[in-house]
Amino acid sequence: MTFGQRETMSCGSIRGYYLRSRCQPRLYNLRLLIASAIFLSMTGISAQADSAGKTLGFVVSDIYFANYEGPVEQVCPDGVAVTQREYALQSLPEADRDHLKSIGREATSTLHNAATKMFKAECLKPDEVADPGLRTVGGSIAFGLNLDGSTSANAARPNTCPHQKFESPTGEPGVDNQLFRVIGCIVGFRKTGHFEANGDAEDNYRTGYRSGEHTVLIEVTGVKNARNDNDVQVGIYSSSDPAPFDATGRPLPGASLQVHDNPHFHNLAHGKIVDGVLTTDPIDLHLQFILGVSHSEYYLRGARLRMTLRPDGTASGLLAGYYDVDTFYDGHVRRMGIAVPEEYGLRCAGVYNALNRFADGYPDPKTGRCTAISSAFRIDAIHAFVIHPKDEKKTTAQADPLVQR
Amino acid sequence: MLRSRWTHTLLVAATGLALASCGASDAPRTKGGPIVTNRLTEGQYRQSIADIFGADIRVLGSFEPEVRASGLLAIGSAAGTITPSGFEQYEGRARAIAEQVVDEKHRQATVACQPSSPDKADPVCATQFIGKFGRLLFRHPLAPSELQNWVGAAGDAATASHSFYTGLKFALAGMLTSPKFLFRQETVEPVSGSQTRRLDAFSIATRLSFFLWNTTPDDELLTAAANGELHSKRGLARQVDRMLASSRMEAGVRAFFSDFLEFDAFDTFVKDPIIYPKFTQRVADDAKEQTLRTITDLLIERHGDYRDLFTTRHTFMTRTLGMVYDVPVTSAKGWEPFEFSHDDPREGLLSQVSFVALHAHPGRSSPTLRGKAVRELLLCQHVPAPPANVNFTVVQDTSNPQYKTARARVTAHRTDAICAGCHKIMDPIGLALENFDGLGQLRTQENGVDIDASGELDGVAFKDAAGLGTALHDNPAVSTCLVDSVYRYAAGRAANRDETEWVRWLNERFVANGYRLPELLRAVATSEALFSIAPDVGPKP
Repeated sequence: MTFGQRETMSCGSIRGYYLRSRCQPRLYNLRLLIASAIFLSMTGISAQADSAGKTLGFVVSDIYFANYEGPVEQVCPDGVAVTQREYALQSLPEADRDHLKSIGREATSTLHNAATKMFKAECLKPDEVADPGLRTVGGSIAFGLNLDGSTSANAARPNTCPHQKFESPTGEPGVDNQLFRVIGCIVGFRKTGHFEANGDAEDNYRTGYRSGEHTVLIEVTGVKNARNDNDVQVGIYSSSDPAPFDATGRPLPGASLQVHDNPHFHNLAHGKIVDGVLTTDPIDLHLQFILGVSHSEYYLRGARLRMTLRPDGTASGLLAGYYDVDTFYDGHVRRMGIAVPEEYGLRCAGVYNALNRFADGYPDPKTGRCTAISSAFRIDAIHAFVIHPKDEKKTTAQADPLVQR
Repeated sequence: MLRSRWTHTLLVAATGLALASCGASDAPRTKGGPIVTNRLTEGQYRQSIADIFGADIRVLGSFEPEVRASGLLAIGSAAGTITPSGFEQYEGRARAIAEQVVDEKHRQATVACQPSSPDKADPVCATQFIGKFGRLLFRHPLAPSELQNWVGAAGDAATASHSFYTGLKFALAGMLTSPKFLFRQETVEPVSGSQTRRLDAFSIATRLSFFLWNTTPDDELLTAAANGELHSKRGLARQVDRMLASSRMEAGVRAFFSDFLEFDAFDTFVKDPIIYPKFTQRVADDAKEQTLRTITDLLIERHGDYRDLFTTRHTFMTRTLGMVYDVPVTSAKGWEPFEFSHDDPREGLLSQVSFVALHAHPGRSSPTLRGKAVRELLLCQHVPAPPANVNFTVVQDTSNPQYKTARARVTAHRTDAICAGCHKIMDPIGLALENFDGLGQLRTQENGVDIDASGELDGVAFKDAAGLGTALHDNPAVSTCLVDSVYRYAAGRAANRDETEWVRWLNERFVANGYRLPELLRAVATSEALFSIAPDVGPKP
């Protein structure tokens, strides 16, 4: 048999090749039996592979607070948060204030320096300063998920503290996103506002993510049907490999990215896919968070993912859960130093106290005060290969025993 | 790897010896060809410097452009010369190399003797140094007068600079700019009882070394030349087998296939970053390396059938390439073996990025360029250039709603009678590769239309790229093209009419040996034909 006949060889000629010119019915039957056995076993193997399901891999291309950017007069009826510069300005003698107002934008660096000097210690130890207050979100609309299962405000739900709920922009009731309530009126966290730091926080987070400081991988295994499947496993991992982007900032699909060496950043959950939307059961989630000089983590308790999976390999949705308050303040405020919070226009002690005031999950058994705050992050993801090294340290699936499903 | 190399070398040698008794003796005689004077290519220059002085000697500056003639740079190097600005580069490079060779870090290894004084000339020590390196650089021992001249130059420079080592540096720099180093000059000698002449032993050593290793002859080969071994069949075979067993053979094979597959095109390889955002220089470098690794792995490590290069599923991947191929790659750095599954349409060199992307446009695929490459590179068939007044508009417009696929566009283009004749021999091949876009990424549709990848090669129809690979595997022209190209590459010139029967015989042996490359290399390297010089060429005896 020559290879050239591969494309056009008929069954008769295969038989002819093996059996030469003689007819050997017994041998032929035996061969048929063997071939059938092989076929059946292969079918069994194939079926096993089908029952194991396939794997969908993603790398997150963007992750940021799911802040609702409505008109400022609706979202922040009391106005946007008073910035450190404004506090610094008020602390100056009137003549100096008038002078700074007269020189316009040139006053910025003067006020910046004054503010950082005034509030540096406060950012490091916010609990040692009187609460200056914080203008927070007063609107009723927010992105997020219903984490405690209730649609009523101030409902007594296990392991939560009474709080106001939001409605999602698409009309879903019972959204829990108290973190948005805290940061939603801080100008640096808004795309629009009167302050020159508009959108600074989002730019900062995006730049940091794209430089590969902390990458998030999502792997869905055991997928028998990418549109509807009640039983899939979802791994959410940190990675030390940077997510790939082209020169214009577009994420590039098809990269091979390895899960983090530290199993602390491996998170496994059970999930399901309904009409192409993946949701996971709540778990305690730890993901690396590195931004500039801040090395911390996303520590979301009762975290769950809700993501729309598209046929082109992209996905988008929300990662929501109760962000541990101390971890949040430490990673997103304190460790940023003084310059970044100042640029964002936030007052550290005001944020610290507001976080604790609006915390709505995981009460401390001794004090009864909630230690975690409901939050939501929007996620965009593209197709990637999640690589597990041979010597990967395993973590066990983390079901959160405290949260009612 | 070493064990497998030794095993297959023994196999090659054994095969060669066995065939020698029944095959080689009936090889058609040839009258020989002309001598050639080839300028060292950039790769040969760099490797020669590394092999003579050490891999850590830096070679700086740009090189003269290389010329491709009769399909090979190895032949075009005989047509290339050195321009005045090119010589300036050689001269600057030579001084920089010489400076490193005799500097304090290197001189312990490179200058075997101690001068009587470091501040003045020492002819005895200089003679040792220049004699040793002159032999390696010029690829033959220096004649006494030649040696004396260079030693004298070193002495003059040492005296003027009050430094023995500076003297050596200037002499060495001079030798590095000598035509005897920059060009492979061949010397002819008579053969008693024959009108045909032959290359002298050192010229044989030079042809062998640049053929099999792409570098200058080593000490052992030059010694064999001096001892007359290379003029005996046994002695020549012994050296050839040694060279085939060496790890340097891989460099020689890579150099041949880089030339054969026209990989110098990677020097100017670009893709539109908007259309192909995954393209980077790293992708280009890795694509070239992937194919060369596939080739050396199959043909050397696994001693495989050359034709299997067009059907093999086995290759190598990096993470950079993995993104283009959209396959997972475990190793964070470097290369790892990779096998495409049996339900993957990718198999063989034609589906690799180095082929489909190199023979395409910056922003789109090209069945015509790919078909032309198959004809010219792999089948050694000439495709005429297009006429000067061809209208390419319909082919170039990928947004034309009437012609959504490349097949539709080239079909429309071919309706022009001026174009049809040549496109008929190219497009049916290249259209089989349309499932690979201009960067080599797999696709099933173009502009929302399913791609039809059926085609035909010399009367053999197929339905996809794998079918094309099989058709190529079975096409006799694939082996004759390789054999002819290997011989031309070794000889540094096109085969002449007198050598037709010899090349045909070579191809028959190649087929009989199961299309094994090492056997082919051995057959060429141990042949009389490679070293025979026609009677009416060169200086008369």
